[in-house]
Amino acid sequence: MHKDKDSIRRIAIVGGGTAGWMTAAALAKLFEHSDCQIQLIESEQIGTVGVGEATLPHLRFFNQRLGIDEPEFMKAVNATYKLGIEFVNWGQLGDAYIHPFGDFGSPINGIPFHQYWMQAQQQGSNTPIGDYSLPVEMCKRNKFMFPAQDRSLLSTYSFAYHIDASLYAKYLRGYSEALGLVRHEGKVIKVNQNSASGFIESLDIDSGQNIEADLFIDCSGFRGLLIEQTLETGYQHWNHWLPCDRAIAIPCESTSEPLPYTRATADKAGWRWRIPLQHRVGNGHVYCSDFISDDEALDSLLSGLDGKPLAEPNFLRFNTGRRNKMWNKNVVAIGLSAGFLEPLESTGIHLIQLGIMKLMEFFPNRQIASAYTDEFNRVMTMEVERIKDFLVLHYNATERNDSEFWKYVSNMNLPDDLQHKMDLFKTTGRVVKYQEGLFLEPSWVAVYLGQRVQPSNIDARVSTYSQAQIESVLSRFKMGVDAAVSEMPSHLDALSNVAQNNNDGWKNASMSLYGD
Amino acid sequence: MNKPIQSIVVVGTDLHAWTIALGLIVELGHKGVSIKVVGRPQDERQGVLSLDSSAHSFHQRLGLKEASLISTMGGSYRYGIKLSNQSSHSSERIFSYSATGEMLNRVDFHQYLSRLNLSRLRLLAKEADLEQYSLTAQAALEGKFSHPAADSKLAKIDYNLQFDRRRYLSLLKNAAMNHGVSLIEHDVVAAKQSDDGAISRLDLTSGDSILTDFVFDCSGFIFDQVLNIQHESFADTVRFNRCLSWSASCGEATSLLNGVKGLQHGCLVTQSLPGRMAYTLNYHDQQLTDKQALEMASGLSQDLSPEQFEFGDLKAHMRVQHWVANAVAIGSVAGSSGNFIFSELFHTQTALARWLDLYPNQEINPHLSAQYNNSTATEYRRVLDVHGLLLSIVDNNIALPATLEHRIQLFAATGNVAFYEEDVFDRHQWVNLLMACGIWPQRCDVMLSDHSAQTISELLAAVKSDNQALIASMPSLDALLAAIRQAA
Ligand SMILES: Cc1cc2nc3c(=O)[nH]c(=O)nc-3n(C[C@H](O)[C@H](O)[C@H](O)COP(=O)(O)OP(=O)(O)OC[C@H]3O[C@@H](n4cnc5c(N)ncnc54)[C@H](O)[C@@H]3O)c2cc1C
Repeated sequence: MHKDKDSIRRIAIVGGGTAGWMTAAALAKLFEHSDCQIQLIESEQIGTVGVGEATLPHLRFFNQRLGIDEPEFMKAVNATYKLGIEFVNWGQLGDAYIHPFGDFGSPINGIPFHQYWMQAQQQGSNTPIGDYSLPVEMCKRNKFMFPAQDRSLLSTYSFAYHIDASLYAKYLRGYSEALGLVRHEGKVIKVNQNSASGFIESLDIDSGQNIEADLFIDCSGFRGLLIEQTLETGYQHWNHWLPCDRAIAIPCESTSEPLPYTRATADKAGWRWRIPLQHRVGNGHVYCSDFISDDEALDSLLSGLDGKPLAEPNFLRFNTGRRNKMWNKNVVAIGLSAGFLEPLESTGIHLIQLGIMKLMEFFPNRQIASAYTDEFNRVMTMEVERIKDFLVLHYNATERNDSEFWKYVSNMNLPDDLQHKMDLFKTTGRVVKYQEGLFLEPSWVAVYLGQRVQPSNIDARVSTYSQAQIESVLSRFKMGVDAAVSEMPSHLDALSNVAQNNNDGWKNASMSLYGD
Repeated sequence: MNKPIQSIVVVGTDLHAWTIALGLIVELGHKGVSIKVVGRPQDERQGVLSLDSSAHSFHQRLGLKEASLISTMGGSYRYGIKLSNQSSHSSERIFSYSATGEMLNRVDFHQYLSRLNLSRLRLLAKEADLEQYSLTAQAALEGKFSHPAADSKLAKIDYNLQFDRRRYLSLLKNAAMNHGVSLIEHDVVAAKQSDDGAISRLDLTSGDSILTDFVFDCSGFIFDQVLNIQHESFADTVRFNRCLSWSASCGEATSLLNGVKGLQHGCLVTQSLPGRMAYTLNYHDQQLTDKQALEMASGLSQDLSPEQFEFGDLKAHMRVQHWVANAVAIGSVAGSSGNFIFSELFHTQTALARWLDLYPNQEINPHLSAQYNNSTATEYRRVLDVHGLLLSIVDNNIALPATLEHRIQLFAATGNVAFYEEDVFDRHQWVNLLMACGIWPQRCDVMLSDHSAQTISELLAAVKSDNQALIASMPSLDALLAAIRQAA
């Protein structure tokens, strides 16, 4: 058997939160038939952050690659299906729109659908753009069905899950240990570096053990035990653009059928999430401590709960931003140790997954040539920066001025790239297009139009169509959506049929938000 | 007042000008927009035009049917390029546009080859080359051609078209004029700008003037003399500044491969059409005089008289801005990094699509032009990466753009391809070109480290024999071209 003498033989993962166990599972699978030893160290005493329940469609791809059984997974983590996020009170108090995992309409003669929709609005129509999206209608009518695998209308969306993240980590722990991963309970108390290269050589645990490895994955959460506390990699702070710095999380009883979408309700100085699981509802309030006190934030959160709280509130603090390098020397930071973006678009677990996939793609040998680290850092930085812009958009694109917080975010200076994107949309209705990155045209359209960004001009090619022509195309599409959704089973029915589902949810799993 | 555009002037009468004019009239003519081409007709350069991937959608958009283009213009198909170097015959390799092999167990095909190569210290030279496993490279060597066929092993075939340059130009010109483009055969001598910088009137040699809402400059007059827009030079990477073109009849079968051959002082590009071969010798005038170039060329095609050879300048550059006020630079006015893999027409076709995507009103909107300029400049850089890589096998003194250097390092170290926004190649095309340029990964995918050389050899042998079976069922290119011509 070919074995490169420079191959990495030992990998140590520090941390057993969602990041640690997702990494562990993926690497255990990757090295299933090799003698590469993978160890994970976690400390029950320190614990995990214990939040992170709304996911993105990409997670299906991850699970599928691990060979996990979908019904078993759904049962283990009490999952419900998720078709998008409803944003309430963002453009103005009283507004609501859904950012779906799918497109709105489809382009006509090479011109994006939303241009026709905007023209129709100018001509007096008041049909919301969501009426032309299958997943939005499914959300509104509490329906769920797996997307079709043909090119029909029924294939034009994707879906994700709401999960109990601590159960997911537990599930992946079982999976990884079955593949031979060794877990150590204990607290890392000392990190030993090579004096010349600065590479980490081993970790001392409070149990007295010393763990040596060639490659270290830092999944130690916000503290960044290896990447920051040891290697002092540095951090770019983004709190001037995303000023929320605290959160409170609390689960409560559910009082109604679970909805197939997450809800994000804008509050006085931040926003509240509502994530329906099978057995309970996850809730939280993300806020900016400069504008609201912890007590006030808690009151607002508790007053909006569906049912009785099921635990004590969990208070969290964070610094929005990203590590200067997510891979430094022989340490790869994955999860909260790599940076933090508030969970407004459920991107935390997705970035963990992406970090793992990129690590696997650029899996190094022991020398760790800069080609690997440079590419990993380049790609991850681009992803995170683009997500950041998209999150900032939610705050800045608002007409709200009912609190100091909203006055600040609606008037703040924007990152240059985002300023250009918004200027282009405001003056022409065009979305800046790119090939790589998580949020593409449908997502930008959802937020711009959902939050009242009205372009001063639209594509001049559309203005030559008559009102009747445009109306006829739009109404045909809407009728198609209506008819398709009417035939679908309810979300609850779909959930109760999970056991019969033959891994159908994995079938068109891909690394796309929109199901293409 | 933000009024819609009513009239557009294309300044210049070359291939780029007619490409733009035809595209505009088809897309906008029925909306009442008038399109005028202005300039004295010039002789178009002779030779073969190798179109790129952008041409498929361009033709579709214009309603030009591929078979009728092939038959009316004696065109042909292309699967790739043969790269060679005068100094070393063993370095002859084929770059093909289509993916080589298939992903197996989620690992790219080339990783298997790297794995075997690493374990056996470069195998037998020919066994190791990626082209051995490429359906289209092998088909090209046998002169066999097939279009991609859905739901079959031929589904992933990528191919491109090539035509006689002058015939293609006249086809575009006739089509444009039939659709209603008007041609004004006088040069522009002056342009009047309004307060916002927009060009509102063009004065012609005839003494007449024409009013316009938007201008496409394929002549250089607007960008050089009116707007004065600077260039960014690419001459560190593309070091040739002259080219000599000619074509000669050829009795051999039409080739599905163009050629790029490194010479001691220059680089020879060959392009094949039925019965004919076109040559372009690219060189720097400090290394080779025009006279020496002509001697070399005459040595290659001895039956030709001197007037059948055509000299030209090659200026590797791009404008620092491509859309200024209400004017867009097109063709060699906009930029070029030579016609080695991507032609200048590639940029013209994508420019048209990009501009239509951003279709403006009369009012100048700096956000639209910023968006256009950003993606256009990026596209020129991406093509420069491709051409830089190709030319690095011809000339090892060229300066590689930082992005290309990163791509090479990453591929050499890991076998992975770095993808950049606006990339003009798919990943598999980068793999094909990197390996055709002799860049071999020093490692293979970790997933393969446990596979035995025996298993991989068997797997590769199976790919080869599958390809052979498919190639046996393909028609020969010349037979197919004859059938298309006959059917027309
Ligand atoms: C308020 C909030 C809401 C969120 N909501 C979502 C969401 O809806 N969707 C989503 O995708 N993401 C969400 N996220 C992000 C998501 O929670 C995290 O990405 C995810 O939980 C990963 O955390 P982690 O594993 O990196 O860190 P943690 O969960 O903090 O785990 C750190 C681990 O490191 C261990 N550790 C630390 N120091 C030591 C030491 N010295 N020795 C040994 N072990 C040590 C700890 O014991 C623990 O096991 C949210 C985050 C926050 C803060």
